[in-house]
Amino acid sequence: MVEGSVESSKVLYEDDDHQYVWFGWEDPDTEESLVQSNQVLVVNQNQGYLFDPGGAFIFAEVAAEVNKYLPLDQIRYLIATHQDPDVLSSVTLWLKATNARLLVSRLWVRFVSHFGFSDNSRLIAIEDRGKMIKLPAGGEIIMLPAHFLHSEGNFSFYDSRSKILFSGDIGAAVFPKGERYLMVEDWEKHLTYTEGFHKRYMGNNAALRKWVSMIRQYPIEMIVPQHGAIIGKEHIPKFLDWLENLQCGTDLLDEFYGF
Amino acid sequence: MNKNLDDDRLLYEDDEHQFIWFGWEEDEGSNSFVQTNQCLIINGGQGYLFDPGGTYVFHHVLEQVTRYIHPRQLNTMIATHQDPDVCSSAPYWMKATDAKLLISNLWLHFVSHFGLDEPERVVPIPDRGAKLRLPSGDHLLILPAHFLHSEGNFSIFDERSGILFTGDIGASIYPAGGREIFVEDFEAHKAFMAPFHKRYMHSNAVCRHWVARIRALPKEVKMIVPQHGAMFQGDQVEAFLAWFEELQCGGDYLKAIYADQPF
Repeated sequence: MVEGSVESSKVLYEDDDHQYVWFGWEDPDTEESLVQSNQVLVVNQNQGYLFDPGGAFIFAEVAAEVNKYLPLDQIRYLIATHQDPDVLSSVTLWLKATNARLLVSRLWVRFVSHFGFSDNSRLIAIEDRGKMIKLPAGGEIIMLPAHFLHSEGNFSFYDSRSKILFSGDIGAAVFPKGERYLMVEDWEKHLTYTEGFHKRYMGNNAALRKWVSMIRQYPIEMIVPQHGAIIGKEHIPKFLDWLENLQCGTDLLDEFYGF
Repeated sequence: MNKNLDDDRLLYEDDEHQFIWFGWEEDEGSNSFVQTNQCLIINGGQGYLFDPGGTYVFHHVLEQVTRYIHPRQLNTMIATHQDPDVCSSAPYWMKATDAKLLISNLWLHFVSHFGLDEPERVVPIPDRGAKLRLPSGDHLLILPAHFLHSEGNFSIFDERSGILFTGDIGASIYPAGGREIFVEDFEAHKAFMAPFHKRYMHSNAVCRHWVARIRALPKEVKMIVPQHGAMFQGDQVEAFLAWFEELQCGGDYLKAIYADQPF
């Protein structure tokens, strides 16, 4: 990361009752060993909703940054797309630092407690079909099924007020050292940073098609993945067309098993 | 802890080689946690630990390992995949030992998010797998098991003992108090395996791929040890492979899963 070239937080949408804030954590010293991750905070009438809070390693920085927008005790829900360490290994610390409850796929309820807490009374299982939570000032956050993309129990989060979709690992980009931008500008160039990841981690083309056809039913202003750059409205049709036609994961099984 | 169950057991032993199973479970908070198994191989005074486990069970597993070997003699830890119940204890193990952690190259930059001080001790396993030579000259085969369930996932075959550690493949989840260490009645056991495998495993095509690979191993598989629940031995090994080979799962039920319909 070039110092100062990318902000560490940015308001992506704002009205009188609602803010949608992006946090993009990256450590310039250890960037080789850690994948960069994005977090999102939705603030609606002084209540917070934190998406994919991140790894234990980055907890202190994310908490400090979130605190600039909202006192931590006003976070109502932590919402995790899936169970991976970069998504959620900070959860033990977040449960201590806040009164929030954690929403996570029913598949992972008895697994995420292995991060280090024994009381799971603040965990709420998201059923496979998804879930909707109403926001106090109107609108809702919709947890849309995104199973096998990559995790078997996985969701995308649609904020109906800002019309921003948080897509977890879908749309993620892995940048080479020194190259990173907040918003996608050149789609063709961006593809070179997304293709390798999607081909190997995403389940298969059938799952992608299922997800794309569902997503096309929602008006979307912006797609925010958990890694890499934000996909603006002008690139969304190209992104969805690309995903819909991507052969990946078990479609390429022989390649990955090596026999 | 169910007092009828041991929490460690020697599965194989000869003059140079031991294969030890640990099975953590506790009564308190048992609804919060899925039960996990860990395995330790000791060969030529060196320890090899598979799926070290969650942060929450670290002190318990460490105490058990210490009954068999000094933590500084732990040479290698292998994680079948990236999940919290498999390896969120990694930062503690890295401090308590000098061991390397082997994990799929897919998860190399993800497990560092657990908070590792020395990322250079994490060694990526390529997709095709790897072969580790033990001090006795025998080998541990790290076999591809991708998409079962994790996208970057391995099984570990210990040639010397004939024991195959399968991670989530073959896992069983019991109702409280119903756990066994070894499968007793294979037909009855299917009920404890099926719901997990049908939802977490990717598809039948992948199951077949893996089973073919296991059947082609140079030595007989005498025992299958999964990361959760009971172990398979003797004829049950083939019974399990035959069941898994025919299993419809995951993406085979994509429509039903997305619609939350029973399958």
